[in-house]
Amino acid sequence: MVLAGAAAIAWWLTAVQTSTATRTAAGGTGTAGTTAAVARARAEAAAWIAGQVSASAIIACDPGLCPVLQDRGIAPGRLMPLRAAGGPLGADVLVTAGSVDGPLATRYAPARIASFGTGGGQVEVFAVPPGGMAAYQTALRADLAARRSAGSQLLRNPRIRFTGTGAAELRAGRVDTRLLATLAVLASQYSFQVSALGDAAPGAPVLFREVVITGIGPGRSGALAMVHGQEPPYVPAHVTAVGQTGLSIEFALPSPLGLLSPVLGAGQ
Amino acid sequence: MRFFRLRLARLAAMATVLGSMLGLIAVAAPAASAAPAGGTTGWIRIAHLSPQAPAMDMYVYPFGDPGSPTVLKDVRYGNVSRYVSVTPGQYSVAMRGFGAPATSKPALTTSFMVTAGGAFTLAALGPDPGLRTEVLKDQLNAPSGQAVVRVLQASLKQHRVTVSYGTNVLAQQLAFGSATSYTAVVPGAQTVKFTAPGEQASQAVTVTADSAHTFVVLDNPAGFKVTALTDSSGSLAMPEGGVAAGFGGTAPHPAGSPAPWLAMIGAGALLAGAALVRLRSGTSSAR
Repeated sequence: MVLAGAAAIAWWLTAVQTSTATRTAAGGTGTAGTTAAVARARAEAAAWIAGQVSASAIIACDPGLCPVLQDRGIAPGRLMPLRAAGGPLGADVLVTAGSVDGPLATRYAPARIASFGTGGGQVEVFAVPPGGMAAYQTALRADLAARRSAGSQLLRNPRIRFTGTGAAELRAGRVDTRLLATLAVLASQYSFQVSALGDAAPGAPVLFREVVITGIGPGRSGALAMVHGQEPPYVPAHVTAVGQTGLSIEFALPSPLGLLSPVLGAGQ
Repeated sequence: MRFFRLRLARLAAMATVLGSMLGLIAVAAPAASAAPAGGTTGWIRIAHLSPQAPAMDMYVYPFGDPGSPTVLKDVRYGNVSRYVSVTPGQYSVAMRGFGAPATSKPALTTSFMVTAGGAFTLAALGPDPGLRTEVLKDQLNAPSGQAVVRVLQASLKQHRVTVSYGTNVLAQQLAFGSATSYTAVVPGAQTVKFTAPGEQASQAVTVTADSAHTFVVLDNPAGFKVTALTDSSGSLAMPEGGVAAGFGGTAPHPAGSPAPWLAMIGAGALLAGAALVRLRSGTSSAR
């Protein structure tokens, strides 16, 4: 029985290793796309990850992709090459190459946050929820409801003016929770217009993490200092001045869930 | 401004209660022990539980009305505010140093949702820098004749603490920044024991029936220190705040239930009214 078990494990490991080898090869040569297209998708993904994913996030990556990410300046200490017998547990983000990685993503990382290229050369980026799939789905539903509710309340804020499109996005719950909270606090001292919402995550469900606000007037330097002075998780990845009176604020991925209703303990 | 409005609202509520008591004074006592009303109000209180952090002012901003924040000033270590009623909705919590102008740069610490009829404690925990605000949903009632207790672990010295109440283990290896669910316990005098690696302590506590409490594990120079917060105590339409009976806490004591005072005032008003009617009827007769 022990021998049979050992044989089964050995077979499974071999199968996984073969699968990984195939995956890497497929990603490298491209069964559905040209080598150039695959390389382009990888380069785009690496550049995007370097600019959009939180600088503190641990990234589990296909062994063929890790060096590309490192070349884009991501510290080796943040990269976790996927091993044959292990998943991306302990990582915050999973980067897969090609559709053969699909089962891995399905098992560990249900939330796709970006996608580059097509077919066998496709590179996909997923958020890895710490509590597992079921907990993630529950948290996602609750987060969406909280975003819709908070967004609708923010629309009543007399110090913030929204465009029709922006208002619709808020009502639909498609604005990052950190952005919502930041706008609410900024409005405690400033009046402004939300001119644009931005999302730089190709191939993924829309969740706006960037906002351009205008019309702050002479208070802009104070607003800039306020945004810069926050502590995690409310520290933006990028804050830049826009025009004479505007500000662009962007938060990194992955977007945390549950920030709008962070009740400690079970309570009642 | 917010406080001013709240005071006005409370005065109005008190006037309403007094008015109704003139006619219903006989049922005032049962109403006093009823469960808090749900309705259109929620409650929040603020607890400063970080020994390293200085006194601060805390601002709670409604998402939809940033011009009307709930402000608690000069919140110091160990202070727990009374509950303040707020409109249900989404809020952001921001801190400023004590005495800093409201126009100064705030630190956004959390955002949370107040539900109708819900009571919440905003607890500032942890080291400074690194201070964080945790939101706890407070229980407003207990099974009849019982009390409910929970533990909030805010000790910076001991990262995992086991807490028992008599023979009930309330928390096993509770990590810093965590809270347990409420546990129903038999009211009365009891010993609470705290255990952590290399340290043990016990304290006598007394909890009353139909009340809810949070035992907060804190540090003091000798080791553990525990503050017992009263989350509710058979109150009228809002929960009780502050420190529980039984052992020391640093927060100010809450006011007792206003029911006896209201009853006394109501009775006085009734007597005065009756005397007035009698005086008037006497005057009419004299005419």
